[in-house]
Amino acid sequence: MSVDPLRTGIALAILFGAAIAVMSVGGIRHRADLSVAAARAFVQLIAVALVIAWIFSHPEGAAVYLAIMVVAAAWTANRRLKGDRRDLGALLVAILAGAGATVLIVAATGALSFTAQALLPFSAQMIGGAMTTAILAGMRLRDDVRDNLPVFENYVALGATYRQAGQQFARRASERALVPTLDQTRSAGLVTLPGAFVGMLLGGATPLQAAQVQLLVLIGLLLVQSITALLTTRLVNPLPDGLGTNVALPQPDAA
Amino acid sequence: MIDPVFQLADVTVSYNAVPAVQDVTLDIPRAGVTALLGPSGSGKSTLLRCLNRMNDLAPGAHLVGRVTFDGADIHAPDVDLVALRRRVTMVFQRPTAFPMSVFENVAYGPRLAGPPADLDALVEESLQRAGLWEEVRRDVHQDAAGLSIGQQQRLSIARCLAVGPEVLLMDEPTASLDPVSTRSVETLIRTLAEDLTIVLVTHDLGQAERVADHLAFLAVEADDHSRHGVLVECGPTRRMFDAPADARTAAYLGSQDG
Repeated sequence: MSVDPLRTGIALAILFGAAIAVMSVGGIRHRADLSVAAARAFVQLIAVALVIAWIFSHPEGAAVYLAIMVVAAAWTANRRLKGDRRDLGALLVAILAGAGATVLIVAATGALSFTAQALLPFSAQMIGGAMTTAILAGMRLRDDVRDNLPVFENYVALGATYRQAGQQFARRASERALVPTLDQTRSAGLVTLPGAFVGMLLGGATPLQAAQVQLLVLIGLLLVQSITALLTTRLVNPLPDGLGTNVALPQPDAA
Repeated sequence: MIDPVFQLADVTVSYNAVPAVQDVTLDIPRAGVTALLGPSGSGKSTLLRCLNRMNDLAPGAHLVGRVTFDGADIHAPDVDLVALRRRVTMVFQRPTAFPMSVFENVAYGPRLAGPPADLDALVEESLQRAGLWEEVRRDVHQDAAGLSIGQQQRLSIARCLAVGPEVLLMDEPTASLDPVSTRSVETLIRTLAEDLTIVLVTHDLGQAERVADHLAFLAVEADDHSRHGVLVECGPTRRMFDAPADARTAAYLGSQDG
């Protein structure tokens, strides 16, 4: 399949203009946001395309690219969770373990060929999934702890560290973090055509090939997210922002 | 002179810059039961939660002043919070059974520090000291959620005893209980006070009179900025009831039938 840059540009301009027009007619605001989002997507995707094109011709760069992705994913998740450096380390471990284990299995079985063309996009998708899960699991854990602070205090009062007390809430938070993926997996092909499937078809693969790759992605994400959710909920600080650390010490002159 | 286990000096605790209890200076004697008594809003629970730094978990909490346990400042930078909370453990107002068996509930604390040589014996002993063993010995591996509220509160106490504390903080431990369970917990408090220091928060005069050796009476004071608790006076329970030094104490202690 060939993609003509000129015709793509024309189509993008019409699509974007139509979206703006519809919003204006409907009196929907956020048109500035929309423009910024579209511009960002444009710049980011072109940049990523150039980087990946370079990596496809220099496969040894793939490892560096993936390492940067993992760090960026952990950093983003940590910012969302307002974590400290220890939390950042926890999220790095959780994301790397989830995505790493999955990619290793897929590569070792030969389901995807051991090439940058096959493994790079697959790994990137697993890392992205791990990041989403880490954020979701971390937020669920903190919501649960905040909503059940009296129970949490009971564990702490017996000498549990905050992380030990948080483990009692980890299983449920992990379960809840996995719900979106389960739904997505259950409804695959019925409600939506998933991204990898669409991409493969557009790229000229047969529907059966597209389904195989999509299955690797979906089932792979299940493993990624199980591992990442379990590790995240057991390793990050379970206390909502500021709690447990925000009590000022007595003023020096008080003694 | 009393031998104080806790000493509070000019302690003010605020939540989001609003003081809840202000300028409290108080010695809590070692051994026996000290009750923090006063109307709601007088900062009794806030003060109790200073003693094991449970206020660290309260949103927006801020403490000024000095709190020492056994002569050591519990806010010193090198304080081991886990060790402090095992020595000074806490029973809360609402009984909470952890979602596990009765046995696992009691074993939870000891396991945190590495399981002791004879966990079975420790669990049984703790349940016995809490007066619960005879009732649960056949169902000790059943889910603790099946216990009555009164039993769950004694389970909470057994859980605390299993970590071998020196002090037991109790925040209105009978507030959720029926009169029969209340009496059994009060009897238990008296028994435990033979080897433990107990600090009890209560607004129930009768309970204070029945179980406490010492009373600290707090009242609500209002100024332009806030309504907050202040310590009015403290002393042996008998003296406080017979000869209160402050008119507010006299009014409060005379206001309910013991």
